[in-house]
Amino acid sequence: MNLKGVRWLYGELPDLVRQGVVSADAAEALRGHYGPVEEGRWRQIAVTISGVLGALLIGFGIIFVLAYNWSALSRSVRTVLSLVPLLMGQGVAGWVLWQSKPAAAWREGAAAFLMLALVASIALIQQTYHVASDFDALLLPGLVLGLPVIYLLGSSVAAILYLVGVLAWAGAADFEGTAALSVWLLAIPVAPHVWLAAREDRYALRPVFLMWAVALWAWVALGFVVIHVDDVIPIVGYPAMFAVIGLAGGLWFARGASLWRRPFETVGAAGVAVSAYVLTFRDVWDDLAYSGGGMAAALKDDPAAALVVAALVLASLALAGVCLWRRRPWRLMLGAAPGLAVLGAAVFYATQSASAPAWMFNAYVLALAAAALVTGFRQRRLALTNLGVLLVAMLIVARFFDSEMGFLVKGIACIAAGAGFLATNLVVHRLRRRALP
Amino acid sequence: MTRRYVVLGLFAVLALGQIGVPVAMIVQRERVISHGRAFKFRTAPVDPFDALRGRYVALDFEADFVPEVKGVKFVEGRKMYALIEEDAEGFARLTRLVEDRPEGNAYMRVEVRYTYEGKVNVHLPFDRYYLEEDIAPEAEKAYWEHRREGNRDAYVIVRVWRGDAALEELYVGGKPILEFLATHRSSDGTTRP
Repeated sequence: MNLKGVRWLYGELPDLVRQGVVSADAAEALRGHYGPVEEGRWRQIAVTISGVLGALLIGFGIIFVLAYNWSALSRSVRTVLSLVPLLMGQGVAGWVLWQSKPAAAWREGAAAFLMLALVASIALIQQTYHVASDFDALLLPGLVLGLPVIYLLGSSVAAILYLVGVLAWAGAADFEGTAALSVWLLAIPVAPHVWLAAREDRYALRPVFLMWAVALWAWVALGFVVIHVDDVIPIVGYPAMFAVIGLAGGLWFARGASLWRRPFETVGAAGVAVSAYVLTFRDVWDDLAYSGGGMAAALKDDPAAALVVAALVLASLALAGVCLWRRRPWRLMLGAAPGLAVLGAAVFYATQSASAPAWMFNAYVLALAAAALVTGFRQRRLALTNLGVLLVAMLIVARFFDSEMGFLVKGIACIAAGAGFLATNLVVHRLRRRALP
Repeated sequence: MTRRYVVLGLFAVLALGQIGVPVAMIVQRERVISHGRAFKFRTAPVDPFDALRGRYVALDFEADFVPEVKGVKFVEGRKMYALIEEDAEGFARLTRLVEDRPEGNAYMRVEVRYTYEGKVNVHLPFDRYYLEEDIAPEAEKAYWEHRREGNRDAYVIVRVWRGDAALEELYVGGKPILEFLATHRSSDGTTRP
């Protein structure tokens, strides 16, 4: 819901009733329809954010103070001290749970502090006893013992800290092959929390924050699966994952008032556009020639990564099917990316030439840009039209700079792209002004 | 009301688990330190930094190579037992890698890293000695100055018990590192900031 708009409407209603434009009953019906504009909500959010920031700063402060490693203290004193942050965190969390209706700021702050305190205590014991360097061995118990905090305190900040911790753990463990799947397995327990948070209002601030975290997390986490493997896996994997995120967002989370309120759609569409843009470069496809023996070899060498990517491609096809069934053909633009990537790889392996797949993706990015422009014009959305022009401009710049054309032609092309930007903005502005009463 | 007590009960169980893990780590290390046999491992300290655990001196051991055994496959990341012996000067060296837990108390669990020219490189369960933030770089500098004078006498005392190892103290010039630094400072004419 557009809160700014509703607030403006409520401000206008008394005047409109006075002037007889709408009846008092109609005004009341409008208020009933849109519900109360919670003026106190932003204050509550600000209190929660400052509570969480406070807890995180105190937590990090304690870690730094104790990381100083006071040589003057005996081993036994340091051992006792290392348990203090954890006991403090548990004390605060226990007190919050004891309250009959704890404020969100306390719940979130206490949970964030406890998560940090848990890792800090284990780190300090490792410091006291000079335990070897394994950072992953330090984080894993912290993650496992921190997970229930998300549910007991109902904390989304703890859920986000947990997801960040999983990435840090995976980065430290430097997984290869099947082991990389454990990154995804460890993240699954957060899913019910996201579902619970989004159950009442999926466009409220808390689920929106969580969905941003999940979408961005998936982007980084896919890297752990595809980083050590043949190039064909990431070439198909990234477009497939972003297509799944974008299509799911378009189907079930598309009614948010702004791009910020539609995290899945925003991250998915941006991810598909960027990965498709990367695939317009010939070098990316040329690298396939050096990296192994094709799709069958990729499946044999790293079945786990290949299966994950195959599952993502199938999921994107299924979601594209749902879009078709619900008669939302525009959304199929996103769903086409993984299929095109598979086709591009097959064409490359058959012809050993990067030209055909690269030009396929040039055409695809151009089609994405056209779709953004048309939808932007139709819905009078300046951001979308600008995105379309930006995509076209990026394509022109990339193709002109990697071609043999002279500076004069390149210069004219850049001027044309710039003029396109300005003209589009002008047209959309005029359309919007005309649409205003 | 009942739901609140259930949540509080579950939280109490979780809190016990959260305390239990670090306490178990402490107990395990203390047992190794009190019951373990002491070995001297020759080392060279260098000074890096760990975001969560602070400053330390990383230890580079001479005794982290074990002779390869023909017919045994040493896969990277595999956990094995390394048998420990003392050389003529009383320093520890690893003599053999075995799969099953050996008899006695002169062995520890290590992780295979790679094989090179008939030797297996292993990751020892101790590779750093934590120090105060401003002391760690000073320790590294003092050590290298000491070494330039022809000394090769930096070592750690490690307690080993039932395959577990706990680093007890870092010695340079026959003295614990803090004592060595204090002597180094006074002979240098410098004082600690």
